[in-house]
Amino acid sequence: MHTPTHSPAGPRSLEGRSTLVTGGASGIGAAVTALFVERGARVVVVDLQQEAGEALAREHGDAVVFVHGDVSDRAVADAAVATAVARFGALDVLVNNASVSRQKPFEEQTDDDWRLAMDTGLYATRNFMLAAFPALIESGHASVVNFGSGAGLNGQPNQASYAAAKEAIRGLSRVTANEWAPHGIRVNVVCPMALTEGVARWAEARPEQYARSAAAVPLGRFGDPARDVAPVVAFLAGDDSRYMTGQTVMADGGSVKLR
Amino acid sequence: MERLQDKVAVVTGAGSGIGRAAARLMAREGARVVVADHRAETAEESAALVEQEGGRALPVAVDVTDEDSVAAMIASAVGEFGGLHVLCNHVGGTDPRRDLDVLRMDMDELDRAVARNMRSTLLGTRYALPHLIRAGGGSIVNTASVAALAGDVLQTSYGAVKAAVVAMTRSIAVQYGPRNVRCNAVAPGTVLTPALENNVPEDVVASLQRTTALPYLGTPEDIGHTMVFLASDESRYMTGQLLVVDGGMTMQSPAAEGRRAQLPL
Repeated sequence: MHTPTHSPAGPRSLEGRSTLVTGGASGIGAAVTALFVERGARVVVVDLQQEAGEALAREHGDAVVFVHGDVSDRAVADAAVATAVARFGALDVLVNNASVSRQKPFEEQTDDDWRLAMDTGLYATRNFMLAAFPALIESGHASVVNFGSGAGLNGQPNQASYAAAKEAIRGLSRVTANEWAPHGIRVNVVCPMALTEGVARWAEARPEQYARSAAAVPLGRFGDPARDVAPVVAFLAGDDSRYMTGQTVMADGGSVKLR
Repeated sequence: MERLQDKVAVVTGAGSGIGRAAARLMAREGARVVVADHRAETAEESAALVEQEGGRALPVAVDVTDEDSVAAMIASAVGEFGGLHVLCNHVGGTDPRRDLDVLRMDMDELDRAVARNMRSTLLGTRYALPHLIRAGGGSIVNTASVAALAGDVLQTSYGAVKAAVVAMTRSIAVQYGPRNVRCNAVAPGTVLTPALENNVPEDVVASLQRTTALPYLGTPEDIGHTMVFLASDESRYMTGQLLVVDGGMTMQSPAAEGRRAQLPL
């Protein structure tokens, strides 16, 4: 079966697509949301940050619908997918961007720290994939973009729970890429390294450490969520990558060479 | 704005298949493209296709294994279009009749494989780099293969030299990243190029489909779109990467093919 269902590439590559972005109210999620809208998609944004989410929805008019809630709650995932289907008539693209974690040495990380990383990272991804599956089967352009991290690939100190959740997400992504491929649903992972609000705070607190880290990146800088990361997510979300599945794509300035 | 507006690109192996698709898609995104091929006629055909679509193209006949020829190709790109921003080292491959298993392979074919795939990539990169750096940065896109990732019963040289292309990609990325030159590679899986479509029997196509996770085989355009992405600023924070565009062929568990019937489709 050969199904060349290409939409025009480029500035309107997501024209008419119904998309869902978790953690879309700030940081990389907000950058992804803005680019998706610019390329013609409509976006359900799910986030715990109510004010930021509502402001984003107001800013983008009909193109963005905000669903307030905790991504680790399966009911929130069901409600968000139902909202996408009700408002946009379908769900084509799921971006599992949200996750929260605390950075400390492994032996200081508590059960609660681990639950936080796993619930908001791994289980949230599972929740939204399960909730989205029936709609994705119907899409014909279905793409899931999950978020991994160089922290997992590199074994970044102080990131045990986060790295474990992120590598678990990569495993889950490969398995579902296999299981869902016959339905034409693609599942890929992006590992970004970006100057988010959190990294900016760290840069301010420890400028020397930050400068050393940036210098170690072959491209010499931390990524910008809007210019460096969002276009990679958009590429994986749209038909330009329709022959890619089960892949991990590093948007990290060349930092991690092996995986 | 077009994604490759004001850019100049050189695509080798642009006389057919994936290389031709990449050249056409890059031109559609606004690039002025040098379409280089071993055969002048096929380069001219590709250039004509680009021009028919309103693009700018310069056909160049090149022997990518020959240093002077590669130097001339890069010089004509810069001479005609005033600079260089993108190099797509696409040409490559081996002769499947000679590139066999270890015991039966033709050792001369190994040398040809090194020249056509490794030497060509290195030469193109060497002559393009000064221009990419002068332009404030650029993007090199190398064509690898899924053969670089998994063993095969035949084409021993092909897998080896494509793995070398991936290794070179990383070295180029590390060496010239600080000069804002990015270098990434694409590993195509099964792609229905015109050659495949015309020459491979239907049952072979069906068996290729069984080894591919997604329910369709790739087209030259699928790889071309990935090359455009890697050539453009959309991937400006990606370097040293290998993008596997294979419909899930190498991602797929070896057990998946047999178990697929159990899925509630």
